[in-house]
Amino acid sequence: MTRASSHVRTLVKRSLHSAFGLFVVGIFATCQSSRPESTRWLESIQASHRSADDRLLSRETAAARATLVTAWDTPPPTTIAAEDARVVRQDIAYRLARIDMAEGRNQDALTWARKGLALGRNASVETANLLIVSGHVNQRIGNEQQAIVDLHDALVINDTLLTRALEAP
Amino acid sequence: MAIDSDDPNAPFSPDEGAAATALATALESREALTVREHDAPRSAADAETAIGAAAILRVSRAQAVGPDPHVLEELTRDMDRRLRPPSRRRWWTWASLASALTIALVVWFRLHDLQSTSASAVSAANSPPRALLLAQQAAIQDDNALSALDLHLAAYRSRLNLARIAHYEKAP
Repeated sequence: MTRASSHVRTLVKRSLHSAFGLFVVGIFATCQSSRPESTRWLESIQASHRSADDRLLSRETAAARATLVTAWDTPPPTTIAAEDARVVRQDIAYRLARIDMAEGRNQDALTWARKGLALGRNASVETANLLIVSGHVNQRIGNEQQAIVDLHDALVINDTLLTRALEAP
Repeated sequence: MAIDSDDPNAPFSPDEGAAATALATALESREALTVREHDAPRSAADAETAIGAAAILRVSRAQAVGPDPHVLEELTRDMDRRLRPPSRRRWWTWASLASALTIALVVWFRLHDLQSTSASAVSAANSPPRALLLAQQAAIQDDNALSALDLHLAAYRSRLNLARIAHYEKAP
């Protein structure tokens, strides 16, 4: 009787240890599985850009636009650096603004440029691109003052980047 | 203690009875202490103790070796073991240890994760090429130059995205 209960106790103890071990492994796996999320998101964005390029080449502008809108609507994972998420999304906004600008939808182009700039500004190619589109669209719709401000800001960023590029070995 | 009869079925002699009672009393008092301390009723313990003591005496008598003090001591130890208060390290001790360890692991992984992803994948090696920057400068002055800028951007975008993917794949 004592022997049997001792066996049962040992069995229960081992089961608990195994369950705890599995629990820890599960937690570890959960923490680790969050890492590839960044690459999955970046790969999906990359695929969207390629698809948009192909559609634009075959003059399927609406399809290209839809692909990029889907990419914009896909939220970045929390595991990606904020700076990377920002420039990637700003690049998508620039392409959407460019498509709308080329199609003559100035207000839509301006909306995309503003959405991109709302993510933040810094001395980067992506910020400068959004300012360029915003400047030219503002020029088209008669917002001369805003156009000058945007294009000047873009020029300052471009100058900073060019200086860095020239200083680099 | 004298052995009164070799017959194992014979009733207990007064000596045997007194020994059994003394042993039962001793164990009972130990049990009472245990019960008081841990507030756990043990109703069967009295009967078990008495029956155990009598059985040892009966066996001893049947083997005509007398109630060996070592045997009695062994019985006492056995009963003592059975009446011992349960281990203080109950299931919730393990549960709380497991929870604390789990929380510590999650916090550690999260912190590690934040550290490894807070750095941008864009390094000096991925800085924009001069040709792109010159195309950008031209596009600032003339919106007709935007198409040329787009061509430079397509190549730069592809290179940068691949660098980012490689960076996040390599992240520990």
